[in-house]
Amino acid sequence: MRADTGLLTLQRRFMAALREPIYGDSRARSELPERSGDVSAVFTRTADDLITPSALLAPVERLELYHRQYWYRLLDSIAEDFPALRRLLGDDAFWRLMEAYLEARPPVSFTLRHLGAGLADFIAARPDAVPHAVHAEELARLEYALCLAFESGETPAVDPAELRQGRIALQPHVQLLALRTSADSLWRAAGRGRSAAELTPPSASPGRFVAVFRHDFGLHVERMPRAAFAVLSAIRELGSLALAIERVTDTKGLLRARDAGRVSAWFALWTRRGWLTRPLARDPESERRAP
Amino acid sequence: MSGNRFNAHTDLGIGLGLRAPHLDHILTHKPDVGWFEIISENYMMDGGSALRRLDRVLESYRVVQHGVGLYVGSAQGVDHEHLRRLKGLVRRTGSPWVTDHLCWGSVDGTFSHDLLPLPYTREARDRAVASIRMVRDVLEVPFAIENVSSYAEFHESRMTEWEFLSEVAERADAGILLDVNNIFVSSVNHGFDPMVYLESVPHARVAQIHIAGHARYERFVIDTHDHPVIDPVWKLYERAIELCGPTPTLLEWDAHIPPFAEVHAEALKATRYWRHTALEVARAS
Repeated sequence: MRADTGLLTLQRRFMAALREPIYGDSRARSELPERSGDVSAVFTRTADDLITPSALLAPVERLELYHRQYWYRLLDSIAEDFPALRRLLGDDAFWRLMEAYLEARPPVSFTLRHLGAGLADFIAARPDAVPHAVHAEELARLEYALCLAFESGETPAVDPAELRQGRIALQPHVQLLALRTSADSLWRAAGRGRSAAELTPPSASPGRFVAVFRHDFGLHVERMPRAAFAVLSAIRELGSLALAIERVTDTKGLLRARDAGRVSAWFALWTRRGWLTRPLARDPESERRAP
Repeated sequence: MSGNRFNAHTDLGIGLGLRAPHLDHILTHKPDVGWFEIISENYMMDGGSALRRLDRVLESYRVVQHGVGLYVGSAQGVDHEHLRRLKGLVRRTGSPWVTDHLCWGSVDGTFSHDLLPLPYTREARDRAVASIRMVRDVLEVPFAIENVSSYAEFHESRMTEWEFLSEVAERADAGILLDVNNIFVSSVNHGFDPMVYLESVPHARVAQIHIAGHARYERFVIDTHDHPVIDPVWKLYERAIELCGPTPTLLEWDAHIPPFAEVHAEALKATRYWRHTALEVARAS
């Protein structure tokens, strides 16, 4: 009989084994591209130290059943959340990226919906390793914004007559993205079934401002003028309509007196959509964004 | 069918897992289903269409919450934020009882998203008991733990799985969600007699039963929930009903999901064992 290692040690060793890359038959059953090698000596030692053999399976084979299930589950889930990125990169580059990302950043949330939370930053940190890196980064940011819009809260809209009274907030499901590229156009094209070859992106250029939001039972991606984007961003940051308008007018110089008609039209649209609300006592969205 | 104190004295019959491909059918046709089981974590969010559709289901059906992420066997204990969100969902659904698995799945903030097996030791037992007691106290509804299917056993184990499950349930004063398919799967993978397992658990604590299909490979069985229930599992179910009495029963079908009517028909096969049991009880008296 072996000496007990203790529950925490056992669980740490087991989890470390799951996080190793998969090889051989397990890999061949996945969509990951070929990669030569085998599980580490530590993996084999963990299996032998912790797990008993069965009549038909060695300890390392029993551990491998969990190991590959861990990877299959994560890969299936993240591919489901980033279909446009997959189309842009093509299967081979996409799966290489996902494997590298998941090796570096294992799941840290109870839900697989948050698996891609760090993907855009991961791409940004290694531009030479990812094809079309700037577009890929922004597409990842946009597709994760869709994940957040899908599950974020919705609070009662403010009566338009009360907009200037008290603090206001932006509806939690509205995600604001300032893009350097036409990632939103790429996303639409990918949704229409365009292949990787047809999605060759143009050069990066400034000035695309996008809201990702929920309306009825659907998710939407919509461009907006830079000044409108700035007002919404300032409302989210400052929690006050007056301060937001002041910042965008005085500091950023994006609005002038003659823009009053445009601003009225924006607010009419936002209030119709229920985007302006009272702040929550605690903001679940900001909690989820927190590291 | 009578309830017991571990399922809040409900009188539910055969239930089905609430799955996305069936939602439109359910909301449109309102089929005659005893209750639906939801995966709690799929609805532990702040808003969105999933919750709105759940609210529509709740208008017509009783819903029971089944979790996959509490990890009562994790050495570092249950995550309090997870528990807070779970309680919020219980308030929304009015779930008469709540279930999750006797397993672990996260350590040091990293999640496996799997139902990982525990060593059957006193340390693991005491950890699970402490976590289950806290969960039950926070949720304020009956809580039942499910036996998982497993593919590995540990050198450290000092008791059988059924002894471990029984001790945890007794010491935590918890119910048991008895998954007879999981018993079968583990019995093949580990080489034990599934009937011995079934006979040995405290039947008065069985709040709910799961049935499901699985995938058989040359040297092992995987709990895939993508096939009809096989005869040996129905045999176990029949014996479980004899031992526990008619008990709320849920068919799990989570992959390669057929049309609603097919899944519903498969689940309703369970009622034939209830009738047998009732007849036998009547004859004996």
